[in-house]
Amino acid sequence: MRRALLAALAASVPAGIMAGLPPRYGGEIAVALATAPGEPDPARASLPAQLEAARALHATLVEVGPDGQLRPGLLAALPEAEPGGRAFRLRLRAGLHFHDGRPVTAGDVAASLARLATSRSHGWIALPLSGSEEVREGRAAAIAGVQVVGDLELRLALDAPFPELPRALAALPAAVLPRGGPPTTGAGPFRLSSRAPDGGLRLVPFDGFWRGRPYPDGLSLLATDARRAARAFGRGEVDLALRPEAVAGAASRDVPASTATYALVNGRRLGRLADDLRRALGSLDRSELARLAGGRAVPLSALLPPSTWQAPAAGPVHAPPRIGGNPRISLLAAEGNRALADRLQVKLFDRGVRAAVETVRAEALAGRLAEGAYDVALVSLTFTSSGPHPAILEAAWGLGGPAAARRALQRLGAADAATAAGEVAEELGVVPLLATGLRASWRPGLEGLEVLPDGTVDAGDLWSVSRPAR
Amino acid sequence: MLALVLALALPASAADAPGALGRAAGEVASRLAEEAGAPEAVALQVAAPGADGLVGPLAAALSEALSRRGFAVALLSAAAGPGGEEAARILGADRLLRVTAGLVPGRRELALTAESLPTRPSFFLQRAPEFRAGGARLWTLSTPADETTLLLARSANRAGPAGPALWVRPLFKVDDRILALGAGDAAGDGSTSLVLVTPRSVSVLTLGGIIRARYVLDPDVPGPRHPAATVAVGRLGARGRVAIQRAGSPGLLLEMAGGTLLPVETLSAAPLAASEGGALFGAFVPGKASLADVLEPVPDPVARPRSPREFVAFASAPRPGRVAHAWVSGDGVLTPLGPGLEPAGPPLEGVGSGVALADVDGDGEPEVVASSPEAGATDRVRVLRVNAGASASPPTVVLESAPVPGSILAAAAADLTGDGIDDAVVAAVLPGGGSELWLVTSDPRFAEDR
Repeated sequence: MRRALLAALAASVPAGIMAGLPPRYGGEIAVALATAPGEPDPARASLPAQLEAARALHATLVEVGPDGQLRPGLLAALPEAEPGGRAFRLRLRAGLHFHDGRPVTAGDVAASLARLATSRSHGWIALPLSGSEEVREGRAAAIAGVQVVGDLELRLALDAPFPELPRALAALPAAVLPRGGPPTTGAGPFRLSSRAPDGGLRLVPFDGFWRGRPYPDGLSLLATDARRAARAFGRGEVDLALRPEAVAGAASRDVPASTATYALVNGRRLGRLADDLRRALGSLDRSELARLAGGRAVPLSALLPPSTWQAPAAGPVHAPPRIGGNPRISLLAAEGNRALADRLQVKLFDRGVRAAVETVRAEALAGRLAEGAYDVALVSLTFTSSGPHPAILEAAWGLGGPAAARRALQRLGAADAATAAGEVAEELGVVPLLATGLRASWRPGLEGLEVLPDGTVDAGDLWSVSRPAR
Repeated sequence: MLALVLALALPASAADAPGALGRAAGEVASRLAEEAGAPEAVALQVAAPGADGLVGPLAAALSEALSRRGFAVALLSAAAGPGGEEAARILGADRLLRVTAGLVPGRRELALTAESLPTRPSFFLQRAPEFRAGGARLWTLSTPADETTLLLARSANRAGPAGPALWVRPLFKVDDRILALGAGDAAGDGSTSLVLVTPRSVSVLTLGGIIRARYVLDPDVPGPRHPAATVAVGRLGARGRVAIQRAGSPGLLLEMAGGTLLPVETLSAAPLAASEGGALFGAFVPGKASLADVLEPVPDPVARPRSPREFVAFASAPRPGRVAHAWVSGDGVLTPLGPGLEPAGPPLEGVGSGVALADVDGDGEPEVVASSPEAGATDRVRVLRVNAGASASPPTVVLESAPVPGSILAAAAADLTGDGIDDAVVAAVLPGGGSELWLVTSDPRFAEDR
């Protein structure tokens, strides 16, 4: 009876203000995700579910708090640039350990950065470091600009000043892994206990996490569809859902919209038609597209999604004249973007363009993009960065590859963020369409929920006022 | 009016035969004899606001002391008030001796003011008797209050058919979040202070919120997910009367010197108590803000927990009774322990984590002063009586306050008002980040009902 009362009252109380109740250790927390977390390798994770699992298992050198401010993570203090801005000194906290008991050393940080440089998804983080390109291209094993000064100290040398490097290092893919260890071993709040056949993970607290042991005794990350999530909520089997839709009847809140969807127009293949198509796509009513996409979609008129930067509002765009000559193009999209591609097909037809929609699996889409084998492609990119400068790098890397990201890095040294973002979008032939985020739904009595700017949740902060019997 | 003020500190011999009242009365009579010279007729008017039980015994002690000095004494009712001088003239007294007594808050001291007012009519002012013919005298005295005096001071105001009167009143606010709260003689000078541990400092304050000493802490030390600390105030060793530990950091023994707190020793354990029953030290669970089941009389870094249980709070009674200490678990269950740390009754359910043991009604057995175990944006102070017996039974709720803002997460107990009865102080963490302290007392001088 008392617990029921606690739970009922807790539902109406903001997190962290619980009379007489400090956060409580113990209990199991189950989180329903939209997809299976799979292999939670932070340097390879690109889907929200993978990033959520990586957040639970791994730790970064620098953290971004819920307020967007940087704070030291595994580092003893925020990195400070040397005079001239072309190098940073990093010093690790003393006494840190990985899940397997090995100490976290400067050598592990250097190895993690080298590993990151080879990542197709998140190599942008290592891009400013001198010598990262050689590692990416297989010409060197270690980044020349990463100098291990001592067990706990490094010096990062850059090709050019990049003051936002600490913010780039705060992105989850920059988490530190042990040299030679599996990507599930990290220095984060939880360690892997077991895997479920459906790709779900069960994690247990890591007592040695630098910010203290997580509150729950266990964390289950479950892959569910909308119906299963709702049923599991109803049965009390799930405490938190991070899914595109809110769970009916549960308290819920928005998660920052960190996944941006763009139309990529291939100028090399389309020639002069590409400009007409960009203008046509740029004049579409994005609000209508967002409504069609449902869930938490918001119109996107600039390169960066709102989770990374609130870009200045764009002015009105007037509809261009109808494109003559009845051109025929292919519209390539991942299976998850089929509905949006169909809608674009209709809109382009209204402007005189016949588009044949072709859907492929996400992995195949990446290959087609790399080959340039498309006319117009719909690409969704989940951002892990915060702040405009790292996000521009991330966008350029994700949409145009390493060469585009390198050019973007040069632009960032010469222009403000808004100008650089516009130039990058134009160079890549990118038309931003919409940004989507998840909804966090939680059961009464769950406390400590704080969504980070990248849309992930530190599950170690979650605790239960009342513990459901499981 | 000519007024001569003499401040006299009486010897602090504790259990002398005359007691505090006798000593004070003797000193007043002595001063009056020097001033007036016997034989004189003295009208005696005694008042003790907030400590009415002192009036009769003090008047008797003064009568006796004055008689021994050769004065003829007539008692006037305190109700005569400012009209006492006129009443004294009607009685034909040469002088009115108006004595006001009370206990000094926080110091267990009896304080007196004695006004000597001549009442003989002046030959030259016969038609204006309201004008005093001679100089008045004022003496202020203080002496340590013995148990009898403390008992008399409170007896007339407390227990009634409905039980003891208790009040919960706000004290002051601080800007930071209070992690741990202690109370006791932090300076070793016999005064009772509050000790507040926040993420940034350890502060010794008066009951009125005035800072007596402070020690700055580094707020960025690694620790558990939410900061936690313990504090003990009292006799802890040869030097230092304030001991603290923040979860994840070594403990500190601090000594008050002037307006600062100086670290004199690091501690390898969490200080939990320094009461009459002796000091007790525990241990934080590594990486957590919880306390392990460890209770040792001296810091023992390798002490093994007596059970796997973990606790969110520990409380120790300033004056132990059958119950002397208590653990509180995260489920809101209080486990009472006796002076020898043996189980001292059935567990009590429904206890919040801001908890203190304090004999607030003076019956010799500490009550549980706790926050509400229920979730909400506000909290309540509850005073619970631990029932004797082996089987679990619901506690007797002596008091449940009106809602107080925030969340009470720390509490301490000591005789803070100086009336000889334990009081409790609870600290509520406010939603905006600061904390507010509340006093739980049966001292009517601090009455303010919530």
